[in-house]
Amino acid sequence: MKNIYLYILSALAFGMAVSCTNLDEEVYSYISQDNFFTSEEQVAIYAGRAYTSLQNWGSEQSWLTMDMLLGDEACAPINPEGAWNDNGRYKELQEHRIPTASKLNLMTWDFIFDGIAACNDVIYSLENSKFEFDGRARVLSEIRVLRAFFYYIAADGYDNVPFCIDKLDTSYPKPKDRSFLFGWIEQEVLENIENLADSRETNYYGRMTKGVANTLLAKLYINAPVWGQPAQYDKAAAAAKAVIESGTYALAENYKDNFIVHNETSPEAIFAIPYSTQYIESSDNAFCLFALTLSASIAKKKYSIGDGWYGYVGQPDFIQTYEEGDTRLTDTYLFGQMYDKEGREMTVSIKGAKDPVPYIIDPIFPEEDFVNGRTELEGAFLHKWEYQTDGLLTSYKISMENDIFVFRYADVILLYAEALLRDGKSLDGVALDGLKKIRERAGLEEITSWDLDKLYLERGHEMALEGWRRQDMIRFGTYQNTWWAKANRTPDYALLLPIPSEILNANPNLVQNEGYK
Amino acid sequence: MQNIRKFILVLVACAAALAANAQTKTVTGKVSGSDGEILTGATLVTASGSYALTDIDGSFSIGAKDGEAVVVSYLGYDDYTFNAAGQQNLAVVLPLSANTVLDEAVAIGYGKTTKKEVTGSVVSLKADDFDKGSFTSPAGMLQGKVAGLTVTNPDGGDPNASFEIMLRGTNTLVAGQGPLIIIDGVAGADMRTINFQEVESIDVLKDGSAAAIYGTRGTNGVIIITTKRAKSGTTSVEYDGQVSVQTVAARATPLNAQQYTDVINEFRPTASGSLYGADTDWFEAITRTPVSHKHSLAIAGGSEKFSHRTVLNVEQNQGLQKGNDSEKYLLKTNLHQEAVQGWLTLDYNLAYTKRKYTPANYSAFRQAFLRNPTEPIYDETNTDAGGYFTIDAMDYYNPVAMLNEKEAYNDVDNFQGSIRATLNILPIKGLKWDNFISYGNERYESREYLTKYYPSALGQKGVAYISNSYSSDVQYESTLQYSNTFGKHSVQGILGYTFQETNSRSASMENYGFDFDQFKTDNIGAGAALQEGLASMSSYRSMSRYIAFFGRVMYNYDEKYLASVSLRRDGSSKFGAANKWGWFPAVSLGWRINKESWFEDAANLSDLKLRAGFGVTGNQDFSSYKSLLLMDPFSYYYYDGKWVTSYAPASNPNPNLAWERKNEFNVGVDFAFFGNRFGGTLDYYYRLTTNLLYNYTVPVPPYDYSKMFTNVGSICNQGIELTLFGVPVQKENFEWNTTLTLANNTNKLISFTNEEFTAGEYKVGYMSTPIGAYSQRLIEGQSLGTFYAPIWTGVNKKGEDTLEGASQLTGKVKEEDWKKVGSAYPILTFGWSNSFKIWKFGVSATFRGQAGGKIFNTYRALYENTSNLGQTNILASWLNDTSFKGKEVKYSTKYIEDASFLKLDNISVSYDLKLKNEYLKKVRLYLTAQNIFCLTGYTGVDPEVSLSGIAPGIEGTSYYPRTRTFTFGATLTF
Repeated sequence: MKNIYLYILSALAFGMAVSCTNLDEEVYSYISQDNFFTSEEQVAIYAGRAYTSLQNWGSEQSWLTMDMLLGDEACAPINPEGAWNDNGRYKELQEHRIPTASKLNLMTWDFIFDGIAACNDVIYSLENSKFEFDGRARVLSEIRVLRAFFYYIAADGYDNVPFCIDKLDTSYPKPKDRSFLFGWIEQEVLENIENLADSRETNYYGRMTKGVANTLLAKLYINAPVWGQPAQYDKAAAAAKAVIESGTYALAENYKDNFIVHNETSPEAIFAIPYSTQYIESSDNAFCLFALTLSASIAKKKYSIGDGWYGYVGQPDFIQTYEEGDTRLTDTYLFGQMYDKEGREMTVSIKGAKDPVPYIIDPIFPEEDFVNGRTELEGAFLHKWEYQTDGLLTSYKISMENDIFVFRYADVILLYAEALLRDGKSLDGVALDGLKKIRERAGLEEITSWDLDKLYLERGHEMALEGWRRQDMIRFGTYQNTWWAKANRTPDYALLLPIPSEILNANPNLVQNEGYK
Repeated sequence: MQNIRKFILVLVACAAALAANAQTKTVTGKVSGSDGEILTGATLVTASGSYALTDIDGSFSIGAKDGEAVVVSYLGYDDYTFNAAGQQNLAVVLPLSANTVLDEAVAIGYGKTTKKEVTGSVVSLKADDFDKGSFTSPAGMLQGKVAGLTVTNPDGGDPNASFEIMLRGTNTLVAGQGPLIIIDGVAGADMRTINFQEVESIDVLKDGSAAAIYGTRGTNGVIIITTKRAKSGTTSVEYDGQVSVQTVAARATPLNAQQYTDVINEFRPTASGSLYGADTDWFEAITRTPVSHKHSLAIAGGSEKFSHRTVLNVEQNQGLQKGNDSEKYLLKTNLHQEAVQGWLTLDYNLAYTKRKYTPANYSAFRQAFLRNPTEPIYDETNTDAGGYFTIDAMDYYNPVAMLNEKEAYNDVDNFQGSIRATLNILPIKGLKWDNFISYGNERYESREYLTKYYPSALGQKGVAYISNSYSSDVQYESTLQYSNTFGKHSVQGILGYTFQETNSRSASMENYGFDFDQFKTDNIGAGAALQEGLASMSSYRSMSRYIAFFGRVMYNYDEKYLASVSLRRDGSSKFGAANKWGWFPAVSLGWRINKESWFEDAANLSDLKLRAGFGVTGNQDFSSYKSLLLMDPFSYYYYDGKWVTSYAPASNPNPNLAWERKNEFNVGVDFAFFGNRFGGTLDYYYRLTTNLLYNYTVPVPPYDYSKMFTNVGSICNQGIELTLFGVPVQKENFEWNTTLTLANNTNKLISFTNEEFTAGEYKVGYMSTPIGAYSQRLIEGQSLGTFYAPIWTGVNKKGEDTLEGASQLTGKVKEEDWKKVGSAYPILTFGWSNSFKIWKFGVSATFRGQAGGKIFNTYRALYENTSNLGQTNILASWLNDTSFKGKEVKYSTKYIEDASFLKLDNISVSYDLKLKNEYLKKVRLYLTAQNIFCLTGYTGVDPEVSLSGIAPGIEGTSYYPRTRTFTFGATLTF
C-alpha cells in the first residue's frame, strides 16, 4: 500500500514542480512605467528631470569650467604639490589644443546632449500623457525652450551636431550645422515664448520664462555673424530691450549680491540654476568651484571646508587689465595676505624653508611656472562666489549652496549696448544709464563715450568666470590672441571644439570638425 | 561505481543474512593491501549473504558455511575470493587495482560516470591531488592543478580577499566570467562558506558538451565540489589543527628616511623644507607578523541505515595589517538515511557559517607608501588632529591615525540546508526519482566608525556607517534517472526540472556629528547631521528566477563506443519578454581504442580514448531588470519655491535583451601506459560566443543614456591543453608522483557590430591621473587586452622621456599613432605538481607559471619619478636609474613589461605515525610553506594579476603586499 501513496505523492510533487514556469520580474525599488504616469501631478513633476540635467552646468568638468580654462580669465597650472598635470590636460586647454580624446570636452558634450535627451523624453511623455491639465502647454513650452538653449550652446561650441528631437527615432541622428540650427532655435523660441511665464515670480525661479527666452534670442542674434549668418543686431537689441523693459529685473545694489551663498533674492537673476548643499548629492551635479581652486589649508582655516584640490587660479594677464579701484577685481580673485576665519594673518609652509612664512599670494607670476609648478605664494584663488563657512562642505560633500545665473541682468545691459554699437547706433539713455550703474557699483567713474574696445573690457570684468568668455572673445576677435602661458595664436579651426572621439565612434553619421581630423 | 556495487552487495547481504542457517562457522583474519596498507572498512560478503567490515587494524570476523565463497573488496583494490573453512587469523592480501584511476567516479552534473566512460573534457581531483597548507578558500587548492583553469588572488595577503577563477580565456565581456560553482548540489554556492579541509573531490567541467547540462550558467565552465560525506562504520573522530605565520614576499617599497633625505638634498634641494628629521618606517608602523590558527573536528559514523558526518571548524586569521583580523566558525552536518525497505534514500545537509572580520584599510597601505618618511608619527601639540602629526595637503593622511581612529567590522552569517530524497523504484531495475530541495541565506552587516580624529574626516565629528544585506536562494530539482546494462549495452538516462529563485535586499545609513566617540555605531541617531538633513540612508531589493527542463542520454557499447546527448530548455527572468527561454543542446562521443581486439597487442598501452564533443551554453550572470523601463529618483530640482524629487528612467531599457550563446567544440585524447603508471590528456577546443552582452555605447539622444546593455558581436577562444601524469619511481619506501599541466589559449574579438549598432572601436583600461590614458583597445579581429602605447625610446638630456614619432611642440604622440604592443594574455600557462612518499614522510611541491603576456606596471608609472618628491614618497627602485627626472609621466611602453613568471607555490612535508593506542590511532604532522618564490623579469610587485574583464593585465594598486605563509599542523585520528 505504501507504494501507492508514494506514487500518488510523486505524481503530485512532479505536477507541482513542472507547473511553475513564470519568469516575470518583480520590481521593488523602482517604479515601473505603468505605475508612474498615473496622475497629473506626476506628469508635471516629470518635467523636473529636464531641469535637473542643467545642474551639471557648474560641476567639476563642465561647460562652465571648460569655458574658464579656454577663456583668458583663469587657468590651471601645475600646483605647488606637483598635481594638476593630468597628462597635460590643462595645458592643452590653455593653449587651445584640445585633443579629440579630451575628457573635459566629452563631459561638456555629455552635459549638453544628456540635457537634450532629457528634454525629448519629457516632451514625449507630456505629449502622450492622457492627462489634460492647466499649465500643460506652458510646461511643454518651457521644456522646448530649454531644449533650444541646449542646442544653442551645442552649435556655439561644435557647429555640426547630431540633431534629434524625436525620442522614438532610434536611428543614428544626422548632423545639422549652425545655419540650420540658427533658424530652428529662433523658431522654437518664438513659437513658445507667448506660453511662458511673464516674469520671474518666486514659483518660476529656476525655470524658463519670457525673460530667459528673450535673453536667449539676444545672445543668438548678436552672434549671428560668428555663426555665418547675416548680422541681426537690430533684433539683438530688440530682444535685450524687451528684457530691460519688462520691468522685472534690476541691477542688484552690490555686485557681490549676485554671488553670495543665498543669492536667490538678487533682482538680476534671469536664468538661474538653483543649487543646494543639502539636496544635491551627486558630484556630477555639484557646483564645486571652491574645491577646484582652494588649497587644503585655506579651505580648512578660512572657510572650515574639509578639503581643497588646489587647482584653478586667476590668469595673471587678465588680472592686470582691471582699472585701478575696480572692486570687482578683489570680488573675483583672492590674493594678497591670507586671513583665517578669525581674521588672523595666516602663515604657510613652503618648499625650501624650514619655518612657515607669511601667507601672501602674488597674483602675477612667471608663465614658466605653468609647467614647472607654481609656488605656495603664487596664483590668485577664484572666489567670485562666496564660499560657505557653515562647515557643511567636506572632502566629499562638495555641492555649494550658491545658485548660478546663466543669464544675468547686467549681461543683458552689456548686450544691449553692444548691439547698438555694432549696429552703428549711438547708445541711448537706457544703455548709458545701465552701464553707469554697473560701473558705479564697481567703484568706477562713469564713461560717456563708449566704443567696442571699452565695452569689451567692461564685459570681461563684469562677467568674468560666468561661462560666456569663450563666446565673447570669439565675437570680439580676441580668442586667437596669445597671452600668459599661451605662446601660440589659436588656429582658425580651433574656434570650434572637436567632437569627442567617443561620440564620433558611437555615431557613424558624424563628421569631425575640420582641423581635428 | 564500485561504491554502488558494494552498496548493492551489502543490501543483498542484509536480506540474505536473515535466511542464513545454523551450520555456520566463524572465520577470522586480517585484510591488508599488496602495498602493505592495513585496510579498515573492507567488506566481506558470503554467497549466502552474511557480511562483515574490517575494523581499524584490518581484522574481521564473519560467519560462513564451509566451502562457501567469501568475497573481500575495498575501493582501489581488486576483489579477492576465498573459500571458507573456519579459518582463524587468515591473512587476506588484496592486490592493488590496476584500473583504479579509470574506475574513479567523475561527477558530470546530475549524476556520475567513471573516468573511462566520460566523453566530455572533465578533470576530477581528489583530496590527494590538492596542495597542502592553509587556504582561506578551497579555490586556493586549485591553483595550477587543472590545465586551462587560472586561479589568481589579485589582492595579495588579505585574508578576506576573494580568488578570481577563469577557464579557457575570456568568453564574455561584462556578464559574469567565473565558472558556476556547485557545492553538494547547490548551484551558485559561495566557496567561502566551506572549509578547504572538508573537500572530498572537485570536478571541473571544461568543455561545452560537459557544461551544457547546466545550460545558461555553463558558459564559463562548472566546478562541482563534493564535501566529505556521512560514512557508516565505527565512529571516527578526526582533529586537525594548524598554525601559520606570514611574512612579506613582495611589496611596492618606497624610499626610507635616509634615502629620502639624500635624494631631496641631491636632486631637489628646493624641497629641503619637507625634511622633518624623523625616521619613520610607515609600513612597519601599520603592519605586524600575522599568526593564524585553524581547528577542525570531524566526527563520522553510524549504521548502514543511518550515518552522519559532522564538522566543527574554527579559524582565526590575521592579516598583515594591524587589526585586519578574520574569524570563521563553521558547523556542518551530513546525514544519510535509508527507509521504506530500500525504496527511499535520504541525504540531509545542514551548514551554518559565521564570519566576522575587520576589512583591510587599503587606503592606509597607500598612504604609508606615499608618506614622507622623515615625518614623525605623532605630534602631541597637534590636539585638533588627536596628537598625530599632520600636513594639510590634498589626499595625504597619516596612516597610523587611519588605523587607530577607525573601527570597522563585518559580520556574515550563512545558513545552508538541503534535503535529497531519492525514491528507488525497485520493481524497475536502475530507475529512481530524485528530489532535491535546498535553501540558503546570507545575512551581512557592515559597521564602520571614524572618530573625530580620523584624518580624512576631521571636522565631521565622527562618522558612522551601518549597512545590512540579506539574500536568500531557494532551489528545487526533480530528476528521473535510469541506468542499466543489457549485455554489452549500457544506458544511463535522466529527465529533469529545476527551479531557482534568488531574493536580496539591502539597506545602509550614514550619520555624523557625534559629541561622543564612545557611541561608535551603536547610537547612530545621536549624530547632528541627521537633524541638519545631511545624514543619508538607502535600501534596495531585487529578485531573479530561473527555470529549466533538461534531459540526457548516455550510452556505451562494451565500454568501447561511448555517446552522450543532452538537451536543456532554460528560462531566466532577466531577459526581455520575448527572449526569456532558450535551447541548449550538446552531444559528445568517445572511442576507447585500446578495447578493440586488434589493438590488444600493444600491451604497454593501458588506455587510449578519443573524445569529441559539441555543446551550447549561455550566460545570465548579470543584474536583474535590464529589459524593463523603470523610473528611479534622479536628484532634486527647485520647483515652486521648494526642492522636489525628480524622476528619470533608471537606464536605457532593452526589451529585446537575449541570451549570450557560446558554441564549443572540443576534441581530446586520453592515454595511459604501463597499467596507468604514466599517461595524460590532450584537448583542443574552439569556443565561439555570439550575441555578446555588452554595455554598448549608443548616441544620446535618442537614447537617454550613453550605454545600453545589449547583444552585439562575437568573440572566440581556442586553445590546447595538455596534462601529463606519471609515477616515475615506485618502490616500497620511495614513490614519486608527478603531474604537469600546460595550456595555451588564443582570444579574438571577431565582431563588435551588428545591423543596428555599427560603431566598432572602443578604448578601455583607462589609467587615471597622472597617467591619463586608455591603455587598451577593443578592435575587431584582435585579442582582448591588447595594449596600445607610444614607443618609449629613452631619456633625453633634460631627463624627460622621449617617444618615437613625438611632436616637437608637445613631446607627445597622437593617440591614432600609438603602436600595438601586445596582449595581456599569456601564451602558455603551466603547473607542475609533485608528491613523494619516502618511508613515512610525504613531501610535495607545486610549481606554477606563465610564459608571455604583457603587464602594465602601474606602481612604476605612478611612483618611479621625482615629480611629486617632497610632497610624497617615491619607489626606491628609482635609485636604480636616476636619469629620468621628468615632471610629466608620459604613458608609453616604458611601463609595459613582460609578465612571464615561475612560482614555487607550495612545499609540504608530512610525517605519518600509526599508533597501537586504543584511543589515538593515527597522527600526522605536517609543515608547509606557500608562495615561496617567484622568478620573473617583471619589476612590479606580482606579475600574476587579474586577467578577467575587458581590461586585463594591469597591476592594480591595492598596496596590500604579497605574503609567504608557513604552516605547521597536526591531524589526529581517534
